[in-house]
Amino acid sequence: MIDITSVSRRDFLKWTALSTSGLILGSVGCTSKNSNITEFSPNLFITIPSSGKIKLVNHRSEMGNGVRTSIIMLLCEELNVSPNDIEIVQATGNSKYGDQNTDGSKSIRLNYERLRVMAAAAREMIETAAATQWGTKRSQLKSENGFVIYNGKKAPYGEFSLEASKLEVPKAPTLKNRSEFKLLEKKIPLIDGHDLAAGKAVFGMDVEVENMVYACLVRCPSVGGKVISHDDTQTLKVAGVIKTIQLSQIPNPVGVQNAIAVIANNTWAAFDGAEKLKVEWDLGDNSKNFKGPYEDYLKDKLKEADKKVHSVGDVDKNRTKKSVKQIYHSPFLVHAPMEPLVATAHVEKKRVKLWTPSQDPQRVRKSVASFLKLPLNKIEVNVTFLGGGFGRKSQADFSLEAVALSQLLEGPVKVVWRREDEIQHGFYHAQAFQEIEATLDSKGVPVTWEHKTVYPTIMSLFIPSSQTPAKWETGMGATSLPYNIPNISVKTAKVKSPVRIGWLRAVCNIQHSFAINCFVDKLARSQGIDPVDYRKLILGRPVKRKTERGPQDTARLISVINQCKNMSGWKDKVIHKKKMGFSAHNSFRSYIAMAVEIEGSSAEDVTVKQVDVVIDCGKFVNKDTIIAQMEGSVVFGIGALFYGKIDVVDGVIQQSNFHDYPVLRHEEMPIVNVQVVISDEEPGGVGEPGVPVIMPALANAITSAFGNEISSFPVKA
Amino acid sequence: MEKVNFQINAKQYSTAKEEKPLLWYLRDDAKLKGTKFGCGKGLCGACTVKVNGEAVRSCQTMLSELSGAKVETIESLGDNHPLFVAWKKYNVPQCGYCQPGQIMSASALLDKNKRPTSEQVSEHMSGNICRCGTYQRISNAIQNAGVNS
Repeated sequence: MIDITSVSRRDFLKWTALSTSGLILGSVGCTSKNSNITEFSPNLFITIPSSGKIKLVNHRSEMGNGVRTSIIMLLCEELNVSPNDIEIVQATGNSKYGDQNTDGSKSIRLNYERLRVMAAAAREMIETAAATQWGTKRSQLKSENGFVIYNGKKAPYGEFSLEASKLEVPKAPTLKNRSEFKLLEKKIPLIDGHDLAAGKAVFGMDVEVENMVYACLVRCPSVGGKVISHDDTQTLKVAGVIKTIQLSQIPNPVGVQNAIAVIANNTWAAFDGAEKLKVEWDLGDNSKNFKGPYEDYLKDKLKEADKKVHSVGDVDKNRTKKSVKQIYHSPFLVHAPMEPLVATAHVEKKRVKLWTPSQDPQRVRKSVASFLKLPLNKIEVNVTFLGGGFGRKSQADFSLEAVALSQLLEGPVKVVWRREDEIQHGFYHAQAFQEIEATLDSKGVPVTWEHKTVYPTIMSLFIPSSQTPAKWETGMGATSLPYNIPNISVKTAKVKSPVRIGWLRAVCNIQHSFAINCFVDKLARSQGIDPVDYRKLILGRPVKRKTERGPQDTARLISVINQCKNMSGWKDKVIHKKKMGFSAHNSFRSYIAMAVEIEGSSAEDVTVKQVDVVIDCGKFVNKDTIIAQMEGSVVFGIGALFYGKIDVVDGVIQQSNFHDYPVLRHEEMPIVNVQVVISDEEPGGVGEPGVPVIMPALANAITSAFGNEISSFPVKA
Repeated sequence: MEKVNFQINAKQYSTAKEEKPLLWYLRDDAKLKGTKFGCGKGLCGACTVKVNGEAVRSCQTMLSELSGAKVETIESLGDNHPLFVAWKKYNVPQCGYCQPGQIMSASALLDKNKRPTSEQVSEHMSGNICRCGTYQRISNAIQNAGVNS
């Protein structure tokens, strides 16, 4: 038996994991007090106990992105263990893990290298310990499926935990090359697949804490409005309702709204009580200042778009007489994840426990600490499975509602949002108006490109005075135009919003790629050139350029365009008068082209028959997850283009549930084929970049098939 | 208050005969959390269970209607059920939240027709929203499960 005192180097050890995310603290070799198991833990992500399962940490949020499997694959690949033989530990929100904000399609970009280095180092230490014990060199033995093997001997890693924990952590362990991969770039089923299918995975909605009460909130219909009076007579008659309690606004960026909370001993009683609550609201300034449809206000702002944010060459001196111009409109969108928002909090005297389906647990932790004026280490944020997120669950409001109520009620509280609450109290994808004007040379190639883009900025959530898009927002497509055009200008205008603006899957790429890809098709039509050939024509020679959001290599865009043209049988289908549309876009460091085939006789009755996708996302982890994310992006994007529309009138959201905010349904699902490019380039994102490609590809197909130009969506509303 | 008696997954339950949706009885009282809440209006199918063999939206099914009924939830299916096997083969789930409802809808379909055409699958499954977009895989998995059950 091993005694903890015999572990000589159990002190915390600092080392750099050759990563961009800084220091990783880890304890090497520690024994829990109540057992005789030694744990070899060279870093925070890996624990190899002397007996029992290897424990690996996933620090990112699983919301359908397959990230729990991908993170574990990165570790298992270099550790030489099977993902089926380990135990996954879901990290709480804590900056010691590095970035945990599961947003911006960056989980793999941030972890591809550093987790492999950590795992390879751990494996080398186990192998070295085994080699010493067996009187040989590390190079003479091998490791496989969690065992070290040498000369007829085979022993599990755990047997060497104690000895390994005495070794120095190698700073530059050898990583596998592609030919040695057993997991990476293969199609690996989700580790949690069965638990998800069988309803065994614990989502935020499934959390139960002893003695908790349930809360359903009736929030002010407009942001910043106040309660004038409320009548809870009928509410209190509902069996199970305990009381009502007023909840005060927590300012942006948290953005908890003034509300009356109905507290009950079960969810249904809270919902039923909320239905029966009567509240008189003062809708406040946002309602007064934005009378009528917000769309009317925003449309006018396009005329004021004179703030230049990007300039190449000199547009004014180089315009030709051959001009093409178009205005584009895209509406507010809401996330509508299948699991509405929910959080459970228990605020004790000097300690807080929270269970939340958060995409950004560190943000929640900081927000709670700041709200309650407690040190960070008193806040425990447990991350559950997320029933979809799409950017909505990056916000902290729903978690803070539970915390604020738990503080008031002095006990554990679960706040459950109804679907109507989720639709009407969102952080919306910004409505946008854009105008693009290009002048062309004699071959039909643009000489000048002027893009006006007007929408309320996400930064207004953090800095109330922010009224123009941030550079990172226009950098999502508008200022990262891949086409080889000598004179470019991008302009914006000052715009305010009565509703909160937030991140939604692909963010500003949605409106920018929609306008740009539709406009490129318009130019192609004006010249009588095939839209795929026209894209290649105006991309010209491959260029590598720096953009606001990273390097852009147009050779990769040209390559996916060519591959998608071939894969989809574009040429043949066009000859045979199939109704086709095309688009290509670079975002989140990935390059995607899509060809869409539609059926029907008008925009109203159009159905999507097939979508062919080619994605170059650089080096990747789980091939099946990339395919799934492309399928998902196609569904998300078609749904938005067909139906997506949130109307804001007098500062109040008009839609409420899936009957007036429809999303794509099973019967509308096209065949989706996905080709993933094998690449040695740095990893790119996959969760988001498909969305801004499908939407204009579909719009272009409809325009080309039925003649009426699609420059605004939704097309079926 | 008058009582209502019914079965959930072959186990007898007795509760007040009230206008409370089965969904919330399953989740908060019977502690069967595999059945999910998505919209509360019968629009999304996340709460689908079988009542007397038919797929129903449990958020729209009141306890008062359940006298003598046989309710089956996702928890009634064994781990090696052909639908789970097929779901794994096609690696269907993304976030997974809608999947128990999808599987219960699929189960009701296959009870009546083990060889549904893709059109029949589409039609039957269109009440079940998957925001992650797993429809193509769901279709393949249902047809595969039908063949293997």
